[in-house]
Parts: sequence; structure tokens; C-alpha cells
Amino acid sequence: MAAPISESLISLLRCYCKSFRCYPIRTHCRRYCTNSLSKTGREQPRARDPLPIFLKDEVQRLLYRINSFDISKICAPQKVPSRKPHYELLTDTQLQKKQEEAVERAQTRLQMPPVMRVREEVNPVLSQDPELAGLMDAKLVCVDITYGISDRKRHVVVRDLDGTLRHGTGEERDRINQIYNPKPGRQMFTPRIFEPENLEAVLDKGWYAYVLDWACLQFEPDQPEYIRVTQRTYEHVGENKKFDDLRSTRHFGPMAFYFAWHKSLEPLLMDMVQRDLLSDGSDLVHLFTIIHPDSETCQRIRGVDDDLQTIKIFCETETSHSYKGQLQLTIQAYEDAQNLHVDAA
Amino acid sequence: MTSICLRFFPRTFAGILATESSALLWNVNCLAWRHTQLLAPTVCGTSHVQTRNYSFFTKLTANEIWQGVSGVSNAGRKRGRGKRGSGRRQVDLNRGQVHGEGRGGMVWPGLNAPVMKGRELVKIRKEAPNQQRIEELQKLRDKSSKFRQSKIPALQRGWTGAKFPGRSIGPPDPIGDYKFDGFDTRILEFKMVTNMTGNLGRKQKFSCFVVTGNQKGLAGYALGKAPNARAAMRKARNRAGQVLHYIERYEDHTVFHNFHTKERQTSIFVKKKEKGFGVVCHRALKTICEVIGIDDLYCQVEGSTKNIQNLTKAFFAGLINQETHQELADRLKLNVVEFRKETDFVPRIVASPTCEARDTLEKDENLDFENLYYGGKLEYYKKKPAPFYKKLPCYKWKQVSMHKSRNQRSAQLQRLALGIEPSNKSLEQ
Repeated sequence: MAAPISESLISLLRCYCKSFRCYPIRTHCRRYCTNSLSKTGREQPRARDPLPIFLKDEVQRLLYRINSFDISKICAPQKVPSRKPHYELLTDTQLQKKQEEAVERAQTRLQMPPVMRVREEVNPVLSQDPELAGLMDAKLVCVDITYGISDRKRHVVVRDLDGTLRHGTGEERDRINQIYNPKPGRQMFTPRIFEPENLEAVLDKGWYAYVLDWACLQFEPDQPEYIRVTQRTYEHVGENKKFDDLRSTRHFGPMAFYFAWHKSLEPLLMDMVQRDLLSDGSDLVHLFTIIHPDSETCQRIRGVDDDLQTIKIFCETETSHSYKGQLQLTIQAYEDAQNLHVDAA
Repeated sequence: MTSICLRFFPRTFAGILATESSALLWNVNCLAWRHTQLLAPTVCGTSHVQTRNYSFFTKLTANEIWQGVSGVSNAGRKRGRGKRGSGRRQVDLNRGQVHGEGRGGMVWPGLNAPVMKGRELVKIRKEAPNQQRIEELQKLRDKSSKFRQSKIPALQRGWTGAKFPGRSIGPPDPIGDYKFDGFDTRILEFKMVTNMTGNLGRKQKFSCFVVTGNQKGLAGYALGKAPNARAAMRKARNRAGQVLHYIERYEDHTVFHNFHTKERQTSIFVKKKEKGFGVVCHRALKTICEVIGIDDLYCQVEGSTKNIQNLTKAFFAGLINQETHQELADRLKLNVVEFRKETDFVPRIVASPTCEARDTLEKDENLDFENLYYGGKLEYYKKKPAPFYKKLPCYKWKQVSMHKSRNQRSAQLQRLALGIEPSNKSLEQ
């Protein structure tokens, strides 16, 4: 880990960040391929892989559904070089077509980054040549730069100083890929914003979407750094109940998935009930049952159609002791408000 | 003895004899002379001869003497000399001096001190002299001798130097109960005009052309003439307050559309601009925009740019004849839609027709919003020529040498931010 930033560097950092902020993230909205990203043949005792579940059609459908689609937020004014607006005189059909195009463009922005586990570090040794030891004073890296190969499949082979020939580690691959096939907006070295103490400072300011956007741009989704940064951000959002900040961004789905995966749905569920988003809440419970098919909720909500009922069942079966009362109170408050509304009507 | 005196001081006596202009002096001198003549041979062996030196100091007034030193002769004046005044100004030496007070610090009862103090009679006495008196006097003299121009704050000055055009002269005077709150009047043109009359000959007047407005779309312009400047300004300002027009602005910051407007030989192309662009145009138009409350605009003036009155007339006429987006939508029965880069070109309906929108467009219908109101006219756009040095070989070589160091600064900043800049290790500590 790098040394903490000294006072004298702060101004330089600001200057640098100013020149870099806002522009690259918006302009380079990163696209992910939709099929399975990494499948290593070896099956080792590792943590459960969230990716296959995340990529299920049902899960994707639920995640897209719980994320609201507010085009004014997705396409909120961004800092761009000053430019004159242009005006068009359109018939109703032309206008409708233009609006549909804009919605389509906005929808591509909402593509969710895949939720993956930390990548496996396997660097099989290709050959041991002790006679080459001491021949050079730096490692030799050989890269396959054939046009059209994806970065994940590219061959990167390293000759160590002691003469060992092996495949490159994940870190080496990232670096070499960025040199030969640079991604726009990605930096050679990890920006210091992602260092834990700086990250906390940024999260305290509430720049959640900003951090997550930049993380998507800077890291691969299975990079340990990416997983650390995103998970910490989700936790911070959960602690401060700022779920609405991530609505209508590409990060709402992965965040909900994270909470469901780690069985800490209650704050998000409460937020949804409070905002009168019961169908979203019930979708979230369904997502929970897909991720945890062995849970009691899964058995009990089968055949239940009512959204509120679904949430109530979740509250009874899954909620941890500390949250149970709060969630029940929230549901109660919601019901009271509904009754009042009905009475008034 | 008289003869001796005469022999010793012949010039002095001649001087005294010639001092005829001052009757008093003459009398005194004559008396003195006669006195010495009478007394000299009889009373004693020595004689007291009083002399009066003659010079122009005694003959001319202070003003006349000063004129002689620093002024210009009548002939010189006709040739145009001394127009800007002399370097030094006349100093009034009496200024700051109090009667009876001097260097010695004497107390003269009745002159610079009261006669009685309590029940005691104040005596003539000497006190310690005031040391600062001379310095204070000198300060006063310096103050009056140097020319001091009253300083106008930079933002209240006009377009140029000490001239009037561009300057603010406040709101028009209230009419009855109506006070022109929030109004500001700016001078656009200020000049002297002459008229030949049979009786008076060349009769001169001041002509003042002003624009007044409340920065919220209400504005008017007027011309005022009067024999003196202040009156001309007041007249123009108050007239402008009586001919106010309401000018529609798009989102309170710019015009609704590009347009062309013309008055005599002055034609203006006005362009709608985005927020933050600023007012980029002729200085008179800029002042008008400030008064109306238009923040973003681009204007190109063609033809006569110096006729401020026609320029103003043309600009106001153009602004008043604008068509709002709603009017346009109703006229063409089409939606007026705005696209902005910063919102990723999401269509924003600015106006839709109040009646039903039509669904077909005519062939070759001009719907280009940019040129909709130019009336077929085109702005004269002259491409800026490339600077001469771009053709020189040294420029090419400079480009080559700069090619090596491109992006170095930003890379260095990035390294500094990451703490891996080798040249700045000292900063890290």
C-alpha cells in the first residue's frame, strides 16, 4: 500500500483530479459481454460463484425491474464543453421516434456490470531453465498481440530472472493488456482514490455513482480491487440508507444482488416499502429465493401473489433479530397510511 | 552730507524718485527725504536714508504676475498654445495663515488671543513657537498646487477613458407614483451638435442618446438635446422611461432564435447562444443587452457600425419582432424540440401546438431552425487567415521538437498524484 498523501501533494492531486474527473467516465460507458465471462476448467474448493446466478435470465429480469428508469436522472446534465443546443421542428411521429431513440440510448447505460468472485491466481510453470538464470537483469514478458484476441484470452508469458518460464499473473496481465490494448479512460496505475482511506473520504461525500463508475472503468469485474471497492461502496450506501442515489444507474442491480447474496436485504426492503415500491420489494424477495433456494422463505412464498404478503413472509422467516422490529414497524406504518388514504377517499 | 548720500546711493534715490505710481509710497519717501534734508546738516553728522526698492512685485497683482510666468500670450492662444494648461498651478500663499500668528509665536491680545482672561488683562508675550506650523502650511500649499482628477471606479467608467458613452446615469425620474425601481440608464452616444440660426449664429447643444431598462426585459431608448450636458442626459433618460418595450427572452438569458434586422445602412445578424456564452458583439449592443437582461448572445454588425442610433433602432426592432417558440409551434403546427449535448440529446419539448399537430411535411419546406428568420440573407463569414509563422520552416521544426514532449505535463501530474514522480521525491516527505 502506498504511503498516505502528504499535505503538499494534495493540491497537485486536486489539479490532477480536476483535469480527469467527469469527462472520461461519462464518455466511456463501459460495455460488458453478455455471456459467461470466465470459466476455468478446474474445480477447486472456492467460495460460491455468483456469476452463473447473476446471469440467469430470471435474475437479470428482476434486477432490471427493480431499478427505476428515470431518463432525466440517467441523462442528467453533465459537465461537457460548452455547446449550443440545436432545435428541430418535428411532427408527433418524428418526435416519438426521437424519444424512443433516446430511451434506447439511456437503456444501454443501465447495463449492469457482472457480479463475479475474485479471480483465481494460477500461473502454471511452462518450463524451468536454470541455465538461463542471471542472463538478464529484468523479467522478459512475451505477449500475443494478434489482432482481435480478447484481453482475457491473450497469452502473456513471463521469463523470470531465475530462468523460469510461466504464465503471467493477473496483475501482470492487466498491466500488459493496458499497454498493448489500452482501454480509454483506464489508467496504468490504480488511482489513489481507491486506496481505502481515500475511498472512505469520497464515500462520506456521497459520491457513490462516481466511485462505482470509475471502478467499472479502471478494473476488471473479477479483479480483487474491484470487488473490494464496490462491496465497500454498497456497504456504505446501506449504512447511510442512500439507496435512491443509485436508482436509475447501472449499479442498483449489482447492489441489490450483493445485499441478497449476503442476506442483508432489510434496509433496502424498508426503503422500498417506505417509498411505496411494494412490487420492487416483492421482486427483491423473489431474487433472494433464487439465490438461496434452500431458505424457508422459498418454500413459503410459493403461490403467494400479493406483494405485501410476500414481504411479510420474508420478514417473518429471514429477517435477523436486530432488523425484525424495524421492518415490521415499517410495514405497519405503510398499512396505516394506506388505510388512512382509503378512509379519506 | 546729502551730497555724500547721493554719491553713495545714487541709484536708490533715482529709484525712489521714479516710484510715482504708488502715491502713498511716494509721499512717505518724499517726507523721509525732506526730513533727512532738513535734519541732516543741523542735528547730527550721520543721516538715515530710507529706501524703497522698486520692482513689478509692487506694481502688479499676484494673478497678473502668475499669468506672466505661466500663461500664454493672446497671439499664442490663437495658435492653440496653452490648451492643456501649464504644468504648475497657482498657489495661494494666504491659505492656512491666521492673522496675527507667525513664526515667533507671539501672543497679541485682541488679534490672536482674547483681551481679558477672567478678570486679568492678557499681556503681549512670547510663547514657544509652533514647530509644525510651517509643515502644515507646506502641506496645504502642496495640496492646492497639484491637479487631482476625481477617480471613477473602473466599473462605472464608460467604454473608454473619461468619455460618457457606456456610463450609467441612474433610473429615470419617477412619474407620479411610479418609481422606476431596478432601472438603469446607460449613455450610448454623447456629442455636441450645432445649428446655425439667423440671430445667434452657430448655436451649440449637447445631444445624448440613452437606453434604459430593468434587466428583466423591459427597456426603452431615447434622444435628448439641451444646451448643457446634464440637462441633455436628464431629458434623454426621462424620455426613455416613457417609451418602454417588453422584450421576450428565452429562459431569461438569450433571444428566441437567430434573426437579421436592418435600419438604413446598419444590418445586424443576431444569434441565439447557450448559457455561459456571454454577450459577444458591438459595445453598444452589449450595453443594450446588459440593460435588457440578455446574458448570452452573438451579434455580427454589417455596414455602418458607427451609427449608434440606427444600430439601436435596428436591434430593438429585431428583438420586438421575435417569434416565441409557442407562436412558431402554433404557426407551423409542429413541435419545437430542443436537443442538448449535456443531456445526451434527450428531446425536450419546448413548445407544442395548442391545436392538433399536423402529421405530414410539405416537400422542400424550410424547417432549418438556424436560418428560419434570416429571410434568405447570409452572414458574411470571412475565414481567419492562418498566422504567417505557420508557413515558416522553423515552425515545422518546433512542432517536431514539441511532438516529443507532448502529454509530458499531464503524465507528470499523474505520476505526482500517484507519488511515483522521481523528480519530486522531496515533496513526498
